[in-house]
Amino acid sequence: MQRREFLEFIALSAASAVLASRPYHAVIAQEQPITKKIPSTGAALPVIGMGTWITFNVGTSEKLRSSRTDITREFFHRGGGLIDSSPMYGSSEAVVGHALSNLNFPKTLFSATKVWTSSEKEGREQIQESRKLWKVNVFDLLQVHNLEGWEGHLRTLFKMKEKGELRYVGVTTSHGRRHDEVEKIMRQQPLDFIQITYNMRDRAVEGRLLGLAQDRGIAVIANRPLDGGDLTRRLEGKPLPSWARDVDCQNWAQFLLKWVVSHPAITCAIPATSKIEHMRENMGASRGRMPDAAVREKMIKHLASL
Amino acid sequence: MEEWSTYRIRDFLLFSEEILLEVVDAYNHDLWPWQILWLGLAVLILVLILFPNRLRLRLVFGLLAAAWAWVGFVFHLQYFLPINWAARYSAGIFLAESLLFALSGTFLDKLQPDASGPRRNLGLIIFALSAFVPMEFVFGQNISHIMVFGWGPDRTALGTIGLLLTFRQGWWTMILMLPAVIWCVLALLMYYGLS
Repeated sequence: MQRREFLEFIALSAASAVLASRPYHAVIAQEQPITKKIPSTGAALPVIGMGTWITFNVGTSEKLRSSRTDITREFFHRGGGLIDSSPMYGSSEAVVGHALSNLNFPKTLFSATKVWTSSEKEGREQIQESRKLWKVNVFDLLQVHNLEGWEGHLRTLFKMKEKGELRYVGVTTSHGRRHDEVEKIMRQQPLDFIQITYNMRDRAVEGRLLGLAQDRGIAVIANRPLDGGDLTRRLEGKPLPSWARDVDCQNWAQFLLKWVVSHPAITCAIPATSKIEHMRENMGASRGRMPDAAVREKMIKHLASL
Repeated sequence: MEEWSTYRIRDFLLFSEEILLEVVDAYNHDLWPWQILWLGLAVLILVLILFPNRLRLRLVFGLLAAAWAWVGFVFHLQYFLPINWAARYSAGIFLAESLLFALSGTFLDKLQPDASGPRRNLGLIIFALSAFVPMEFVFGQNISHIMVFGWGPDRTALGTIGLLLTFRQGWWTMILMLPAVIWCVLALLMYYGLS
């Protein structure tokens, strides 16, 4: 061992000893999550958000509401920001509101919900109802759910944005549906966000929409980044490739999520979970090194080989 | 049409199996011991059907109306609706069936019990299974998830189909059977989607 190598070894050992002696949460708190800029304003958004489809629709059960509060607490503790919901998700908005009020509305919250009705008038009423359920005065982002009645709702949302009642406007789709219409809206309307399905198995948006989002300066939220949990279930029990450590992936969830959020056009991914240990795994994807284009290609080939 | 082909049954379900079981658990826990009453009424229905006369049949149909109304109002609207906005429609199916049974006195003459035969026996077996056998254990659930006839929607629908099979078949029995069959199909699709 050369003298320089020996000194490096001593320094690294000392650093490891210091880190090892500190509680894990202290390390998490110090290391900030990776963020990306929202093109329309330049504001930073942590790359891993939280979806609430199914997982937060727990009705009025106190036990389950309390467990979802714990999950939300863990999300913010690990530097989370964006929470996405919809009036379509049953009691999810009410459960999110319950969790947020118990956590005193963390400062990093980026509230995102949707309008889900074909009528413009009902849409306005629905937004008021969502505000009450979330217990917030101003949403960060309101999106037209699955493009349902988008022309009328976008009129409402842009007016709200003008008056300062809303920060960002977007539209959503999922499962690769209605991409032609999404493209048309992206070209015609001054959208801040689109939300689409993007994961290692569903890459339909790579063809046109992601490039267009970059060209038009539109932020992209990736829903179903774990394909509704199917991808992680499929990979359960299979060993992670050793080279995954080079991009700081400790588990399959991080492998899958880092692949999604490392695409230059993707601003944020919103995995949903009802388990705290899964939340910890998911949030780990917002830290450490990210794969570059070559590693992303290697990841795809590896997944296909399994 | 092309877009609809991309949907799976699971895409229409807003809740997971875990949450559905939690709702059943809360329903059973909050309203205990009313289940015992419904178990007793199921025994009474069986006795009345085995030894029928006009008055006894009126009583059976009255109890069926009460069972469908209970499940519609209490299970669907109070417990299922918070996790599934579509429960207002399933409550509608149950309340419509309750109304049909309540009005059945006016067309009771058109419903004649079968004195014997394999269909009657099959109907009695189906009713007994739905009312008295804790099938939930077969699916790995525990005692807090057990439903009884007149209490849980699946048991009530299945038991009703069993009871209606003990009658001579005609338009009226088919009309009364329709909501029960619709619910059974919806429930099967729901369990398939959840699995």
